[in-house]
Amino acid sequence: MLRSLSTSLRSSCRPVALRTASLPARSLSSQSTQSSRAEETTEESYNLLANSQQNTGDDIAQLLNLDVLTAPKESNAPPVMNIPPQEDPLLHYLASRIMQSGHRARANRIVARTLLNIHAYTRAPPLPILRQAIFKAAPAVRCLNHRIATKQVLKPIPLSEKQSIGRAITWILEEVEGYPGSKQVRQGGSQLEERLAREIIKIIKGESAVLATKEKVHREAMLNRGSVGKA
Amino acid sequence: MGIHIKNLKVRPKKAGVTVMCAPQLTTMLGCWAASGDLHSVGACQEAAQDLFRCMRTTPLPKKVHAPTINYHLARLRKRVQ
Repeated sequence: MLRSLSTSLRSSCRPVALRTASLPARSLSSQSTQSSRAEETTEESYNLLANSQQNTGDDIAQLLNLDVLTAPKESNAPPVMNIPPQEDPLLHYLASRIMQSGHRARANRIVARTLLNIHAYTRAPPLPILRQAIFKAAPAVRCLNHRIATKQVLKPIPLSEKQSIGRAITWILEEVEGYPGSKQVRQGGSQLEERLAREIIKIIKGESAVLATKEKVHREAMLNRGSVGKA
Repeated sequence: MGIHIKNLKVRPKKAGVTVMCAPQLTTMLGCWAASGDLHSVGACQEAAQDLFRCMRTTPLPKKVHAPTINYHLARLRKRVQ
């Protein structure tokens, strides 16, 4: 019944300028407000558009207790509808990094089970813990090997949000799985989700090797802070 | 008449890497050196947040075209020598 109502609303609407939430495009540090599609229609903050001239959607919107968003009559600008992202951008990115050969569902399952493991250990909401761990492990700068004449100079360069989070996830996955050619013994569980959860907890506690790597990078940048201005 | 070079080309100088948000970066690195707070949780948290804000808001530098000196040298080769 709900599906037919939404199609009738859509048919009575003028073309809409869609904007994916009020967040910048694919910002990893901002959370998605929608967790599952089932909760969409009951969310009060999910504003649906009604045509201000025809007013066909108003009574239906009021029946469902939805806010009716009408464009101001003076402006010719199309009304804007805020659509939150389908899933949390950080979780999506983490799953993309874990994914191999295009097996997206497997990667999503691993991420979901990692969150479950974190929750089982901490008895707290797992997503803020995961976010905190990744931001804690994320470096702010990287050192570029820059050649001036014959001399190799290390130049610190600031990282964007996605770059720094990408590096943090690279280090975490290397710690957990090893890099190609390494012969490290898998400690902490036979499943990736278990090892990942343990690594996240270790980062929060401050015991992880990832944090030591980050500190090393930051120290190198600090020691070479004089070469920021050099061409 | 003098030197004859068949393929006249030079190794053009590569433009230096433009560092975005250089003042905020130097402030933060100086703060790290002064306080030793490499994880930016205590004394350098403000400076780090300034840098992150700057990185979020500044537009990316426009891509500089590679130098075309070799194209012109090849074109004018017969006139120059």
